[in-house]
Amino acid sequence: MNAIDRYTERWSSSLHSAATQRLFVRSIFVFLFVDYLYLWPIRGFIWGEASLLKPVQQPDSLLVNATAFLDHERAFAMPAYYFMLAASLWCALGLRWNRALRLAVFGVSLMLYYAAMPVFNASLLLFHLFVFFSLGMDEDARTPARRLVSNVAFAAARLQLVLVYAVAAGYKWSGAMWLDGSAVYYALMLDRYDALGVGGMLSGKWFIFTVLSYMGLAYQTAFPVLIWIKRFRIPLLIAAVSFHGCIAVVLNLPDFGIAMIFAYTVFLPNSYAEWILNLPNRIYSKRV
Amino acid sequence: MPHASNRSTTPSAKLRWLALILAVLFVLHFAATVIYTVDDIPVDARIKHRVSNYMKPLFHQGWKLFAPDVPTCNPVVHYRMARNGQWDAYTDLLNHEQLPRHPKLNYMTNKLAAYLMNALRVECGDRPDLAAMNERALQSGTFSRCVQYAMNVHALSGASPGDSIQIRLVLTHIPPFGGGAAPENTTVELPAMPLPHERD
Repeated sequence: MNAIDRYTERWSSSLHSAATQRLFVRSIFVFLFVDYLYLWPIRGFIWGEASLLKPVQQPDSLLVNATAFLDHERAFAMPAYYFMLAASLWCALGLRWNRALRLAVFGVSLMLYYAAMPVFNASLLLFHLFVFFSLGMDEDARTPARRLVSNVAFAAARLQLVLVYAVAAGYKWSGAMWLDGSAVYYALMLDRYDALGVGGMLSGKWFIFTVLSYMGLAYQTAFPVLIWIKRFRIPLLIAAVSFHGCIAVVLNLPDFGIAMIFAYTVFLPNSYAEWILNLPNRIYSKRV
Repeated sequence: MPHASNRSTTPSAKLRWLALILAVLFVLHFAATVIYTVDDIPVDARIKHRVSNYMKPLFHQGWKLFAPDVPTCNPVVHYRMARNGQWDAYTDLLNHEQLPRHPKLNYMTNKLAAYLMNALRVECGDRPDLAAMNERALQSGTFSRCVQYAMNVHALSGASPGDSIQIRLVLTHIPPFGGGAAPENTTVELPAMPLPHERD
């Protein structure tokens, strides 16, 4: 066998981390459902008749036009929002035909995003990418071709998450504030991120801000490298959940923090994913 | 026996082609992702343009939160209306009483202010050149979006829209790291926009 055959064989003979793939796909749609549900009280101000956001410029390419459909045709925006909630819940529960629905979720969520860009942060964009990769993922793949596509899509999702950190860390190393330790101070002094007033509480404690800045920079730099090494994976995932839990609460970015925690399921070892997936059954059988 | 075992593990030609195609798509997609997300990457402008056309509609992403540096000021947008040549007082878009209290509405309003700051290319430490600002504002879709947003917020109160609307960007500076007083606020008043009269 030559190298191509070996590679093809390795990637098509079995589903890599089958339970992790299944859990990851579920996590994508659970997050989307929760993220859109969070906007329920203000859905009318975003997409409805009383929308505060109106189209300004015609986009310049055909594909942008297609994704910007709801920005121009607002009458369809609310039905699209309701569809999004129902479809993401359907996929999150892993119900029948959910693989076909994923494509619709990808398209509709993109259109909802382009009709309300200032509402969202990068977490929704990351999950759009994950939904796209989930189109190739088939947790029940039985043929070699399907297994191959599923494994490649799963690898793409992993690489995408790693790229997020690599690019973010690269930019931070090119700035001055992360190197002089002042970045967290300025971030916590921005009104839109300091809902709890933590910046004010720590005012004058320059050493704490400096340590937090260096910890953030070190974590984001280490993640893209160490996550591929199995023995670092669990400690790194624990650090990751703490890091993003803090961001969710302290920096007033709950959707971003929760999104990243859900995204980490892509690196969860298979046995842990199996344990999580079987949790509802165990709870149910205990009660019975 | 070795022959049989070899036949059972060697992938079919179709599968091999599928693997090759997926590998090429994988590499091309992630090359495009890197070119799209990393600003300073030395790539021909035409390639960047094509990559942007591929990435922006379907795979748009950006990972520059708090990077390379964190802003050192808080931008806020205010608006006011004129009726018969008389201007009302400025109203803070963020604290408008007609808007429900929801973190995402605050986030959206703050983000529009940050977008406007970027569109006008005002840096936190700048002394803005007002003539250049006004020119940029009139060419900027973000400015129009902010004006539209302010009009929609104003409409929630049920008040008449008036003859013209004006918005201003106020930058509240953060005290420097290590101690010291914050610089005075910077205010950028943008061009007043006439509003179309409703026909009876």
